[in-house]
Amino acid sequence: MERNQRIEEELFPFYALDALTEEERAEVDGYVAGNPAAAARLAVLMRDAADLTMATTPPIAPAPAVKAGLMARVAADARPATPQVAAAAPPPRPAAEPRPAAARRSWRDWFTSGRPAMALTAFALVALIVSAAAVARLSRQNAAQQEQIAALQADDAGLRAQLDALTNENEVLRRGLAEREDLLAQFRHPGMRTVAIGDATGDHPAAVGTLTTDMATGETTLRVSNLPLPSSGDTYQAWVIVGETPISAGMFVVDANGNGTHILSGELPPEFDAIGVSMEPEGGSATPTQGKIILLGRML
Amino acid sequence: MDQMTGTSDEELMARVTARDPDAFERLYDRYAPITLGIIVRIVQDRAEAEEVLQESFWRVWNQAATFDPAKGLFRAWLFSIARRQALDLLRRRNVRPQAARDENEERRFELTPAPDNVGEAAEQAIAAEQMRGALGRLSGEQLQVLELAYFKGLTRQEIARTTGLPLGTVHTRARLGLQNLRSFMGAANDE
Repeated sequence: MERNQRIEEELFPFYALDALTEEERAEVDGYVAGNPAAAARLAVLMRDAADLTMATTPPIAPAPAVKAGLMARVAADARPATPQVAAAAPPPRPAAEPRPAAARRSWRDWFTSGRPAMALTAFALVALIVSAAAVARLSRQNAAQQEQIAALQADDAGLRAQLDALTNENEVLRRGLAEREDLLAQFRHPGMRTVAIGDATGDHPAAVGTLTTDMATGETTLRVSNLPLPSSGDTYQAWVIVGETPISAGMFVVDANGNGTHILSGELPPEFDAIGVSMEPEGGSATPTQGKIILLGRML
Repeated sequence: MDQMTGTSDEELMARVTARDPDAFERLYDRYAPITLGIIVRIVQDRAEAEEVLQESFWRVWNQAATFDPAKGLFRAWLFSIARRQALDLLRRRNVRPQAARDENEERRFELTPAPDNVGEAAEQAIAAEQMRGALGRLSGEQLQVLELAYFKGLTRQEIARTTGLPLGTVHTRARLGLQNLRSFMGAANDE
């Protein structure tokens, strides 16, 4: 499987350091999903990052309460769910002794009979009934308020969803702006040499590119825009040209808009006269295919 | 593989997936101190860090089934969970993390190993010391990029902006930093 140099060199280290955006992380996940060799290379980098963490961090003993609290949660969670056993039936009560039927009395009698304890009981019963009515009314009010709260929470969830969508949109715009600022900063940075390259055939006037060399590191980055999308089974290949001799500088892909970034790779000479981009069959070619050279530029 | 107990992290994780609290406790004892060190370094607050630590290990317990040893080491997975939890806390605070470069600040925290796991802590300390030796051989520029990414949670674009470096240089330093660390670690093991 072809090695995607851009993903492996630019994104892999930051994936291992857990410092990619969600989109970039998804791009890496997609790439390694079907590429076991790349997945193995990524796993090595992730081990390196874990080692880096251990190397730069002094251990600190947590308070015993942290472990105690955690293990209590784990123990409660790990305990197998016990079946719901029916509550043991209370022991049967001894049969009540039959009571003699009491003579019927008017309720007023309870208050006038000279039996204050009984009167007090009756009063308490009345108070209980009134209280129960009040509780029922409060319960109804509470239920209505709960409904209002639920409605407000639903509104809140809707507003939060809108806010999330706007935040995401803002993040995408911010990232786009940051990338353009980075590009601009690269062009302005002392020690950077940038060369513009353009359409070689006249068939794709919108196709353009830049070649930027960081003189400090020797890294040369090719950025292309508006290239025609390669047909199935084709890919783009970069070339550096010394005199009349083209030397492959690696293959790369472009996105749906024909944009792409490629760090020149391979056995490259320290100096070259021109840079070119051609469309080649997948796997690349030994020399550029005539009529398929899309971009060409001379080094100044 | 843990030489002292003979059980690897990944074997313990397989048991944790099967809901074995003892295996989970072993992993906690093995990694809680270094994990707390990472979290403290990011959030700069011991009490909050311990809450994040507990939550991180709780996630290990609850999400054990999602751990895939083919994708990397357990400790890399654990550190990633803890780091994200710590960075989330910072974002909630709306405060950027501060890299703990001040030695006194670091000594403010207790550096003793967990009392009931002196053996494992000692083994970890030796490994960490070996790695610190390898780290001392990295260039300051490479280390800076690695630390900004890991402990400050900056993206590669943010690192380029913060340091004034071209993005390509940031990529190169991160890549070479990790490669060199591996190479120096290999040399240390061979010595």
